[in-house]
Amino acid sequence: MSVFILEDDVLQGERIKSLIREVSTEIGFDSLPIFLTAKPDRLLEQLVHSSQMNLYFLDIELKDEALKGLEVAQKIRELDSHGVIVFVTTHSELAPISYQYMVSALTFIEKRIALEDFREAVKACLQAYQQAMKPTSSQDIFIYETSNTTIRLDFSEIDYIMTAEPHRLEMVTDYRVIRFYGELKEIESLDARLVRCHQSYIVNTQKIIEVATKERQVILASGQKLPVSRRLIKPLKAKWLESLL
Amino acid sequence: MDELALFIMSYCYFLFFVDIIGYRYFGWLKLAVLSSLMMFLTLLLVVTTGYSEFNMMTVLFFLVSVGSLKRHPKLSFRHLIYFACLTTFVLTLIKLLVSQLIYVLFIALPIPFYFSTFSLIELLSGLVILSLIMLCRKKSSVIVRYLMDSSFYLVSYFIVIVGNFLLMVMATPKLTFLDSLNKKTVGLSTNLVVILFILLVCLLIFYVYMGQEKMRQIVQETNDQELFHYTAELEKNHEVLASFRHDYLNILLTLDEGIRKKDLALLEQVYYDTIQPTFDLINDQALDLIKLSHIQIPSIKSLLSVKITEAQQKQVTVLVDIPNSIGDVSMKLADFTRCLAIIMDNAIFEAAESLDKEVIIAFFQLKGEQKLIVKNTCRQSHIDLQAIYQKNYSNKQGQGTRGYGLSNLKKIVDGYDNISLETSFQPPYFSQLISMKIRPNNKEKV
Repeated sequence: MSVFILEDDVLQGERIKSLIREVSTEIGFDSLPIFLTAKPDRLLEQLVHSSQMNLYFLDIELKDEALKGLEVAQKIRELDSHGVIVFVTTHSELAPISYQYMVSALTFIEKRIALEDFREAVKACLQAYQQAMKPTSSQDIFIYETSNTTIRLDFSEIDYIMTAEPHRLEMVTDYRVIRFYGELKEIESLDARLVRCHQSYIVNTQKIIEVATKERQVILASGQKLPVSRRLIKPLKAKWLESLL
Repeated sequence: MDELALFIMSYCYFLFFVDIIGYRYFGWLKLAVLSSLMMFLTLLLVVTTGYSEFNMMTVLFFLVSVGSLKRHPKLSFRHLIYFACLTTFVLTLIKLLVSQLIYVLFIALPIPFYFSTFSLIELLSGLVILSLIMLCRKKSSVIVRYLMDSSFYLVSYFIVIVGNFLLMVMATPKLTFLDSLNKKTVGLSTNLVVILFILLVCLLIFYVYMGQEKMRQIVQETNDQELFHYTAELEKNHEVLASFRHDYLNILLTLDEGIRKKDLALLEQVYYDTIQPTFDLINDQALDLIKLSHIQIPSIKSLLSVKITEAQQKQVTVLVDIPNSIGDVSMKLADFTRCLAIIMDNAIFEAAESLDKEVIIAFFQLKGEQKLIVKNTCRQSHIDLQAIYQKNYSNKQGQGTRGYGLSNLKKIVDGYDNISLETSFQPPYFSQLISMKIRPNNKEKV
């Protein structure tokens, strides 16, 4: 459980290191060992000898290094599959959304922003890391993989899945909608908490706050109301109550 | 059996008519009701009055009234008459053709002749025509819409009116005027009608063929235009870089002199006046267009460069993130370009109205999937991610602006089973992500 910083500019590196020390104490996450280096090889060496589940701040643009920022990140991912990776960039030359996806990085921070904003960004990363380190947060990832599509997200994000068109499903979460090719039948069988409440709807029982039997509707935490078919209302209510216990 | 055959023919009339006027509001049941109504009325009129002209007149009357029922924007009365006459002419002739064919078939095959065989032939031809119409539903409305804009309309109007008139003459009319015409021109009118029909079909084929050529031309022109724009922009960029290099060399020389002379004042001046301002130049978006060089497909490259330039003209910052070379996309190129255009247009429009005015484009490959991500800042604090895909949902002000973009995007994406579309909104960024799973030979639409 440590923080690794890869930064080839000495001043910048020290700046980030002291900032992390300061912020981690502030959020009650102190005595985090921090390892700062300008050389990717050294970082990887150190990583091999230490535990997994670390927080990494990586400068994408390393000059004169054989391994560029992205490659370092990929190698880190191989060694630490659940660690939190944050890219540190100079504005606009590289907008690393692609990198973010490729190594499942958390986010990226720009170096040249105001100190206050930089501090806030670092704090957010540390808090996310703190959250990920909690023993209660286990990796509850939902994966649906077929030859047509791959869906991968935190299970707690899923609100419901519905049939939009024949074979076209829509998965609705808190802040996004994914429209993909699939079958409700297959998705139903992936997790006991996903329950079919209607010919065209599967609901995440963890998101239900009320099952309205008379109106034959189920109400979710997001306020969304889903229809329930007559024959499924009883089993749905039963499974929901079960999940509450 | 006769009534059934008549019913089917009436149904065919209505179905064909409704298809070519592009009017989708009638369900099967409603059409069935209308056809039976028309059929009964026709029978009644013909039997009671003995005027067989009523056959055609009632059909025309019904079609025209059905067409004028609900507000259909483009249909004037002239158009309605045209479509109605076209329907009767075309279908009557096709029916004659089909009945003849079936009759010949019957004779050729060793099937015994009964009294009811004629009715059977009528019934069969009706069914054949019905199935033909059902098969070509989509095509016929598209073709007709195109033909209406060309001169086919005027030319065929005449043919259609005359053809219908002749049909009436041929069908044992009772009106003395028409009857005498009938007696005089029996063989001639049949031939004439057939000739007119063949002429109509030839015209149709001709215009449709011409239309395809035109379409191809237009696509080619657009491609050329975009390529031209792209190279023009590229040349502009080279100029910018060249001038920058020139300035840079000059600055170096001045700095060199300042250091030799140990002239701090000069060094300060050079830094604040010339070097510091170039910080903006380095971040200048003109350099982004060079990043598009990773895309090896000319039409996508030029589309993106045009859109990026458009965005920059609206003071929108565009960040381009294309880390690896992209050689191919896992869907029909034309469809991909359309999707890209729709997404970019929406993103630029929204970003221009937002506070931060930012658009980010990423296009890369990851684990057997190609991902296209377009993010833009927007001014809304909340977006209903499912409602925006409905037709006619539009943020744009003003009359007559329709929000067809996103619903078309949805339609295209739905046509491929290896493509998923993810729409998300985490204030202030709205983002569209298209994931294309790479499969060998996978350009086939579902």
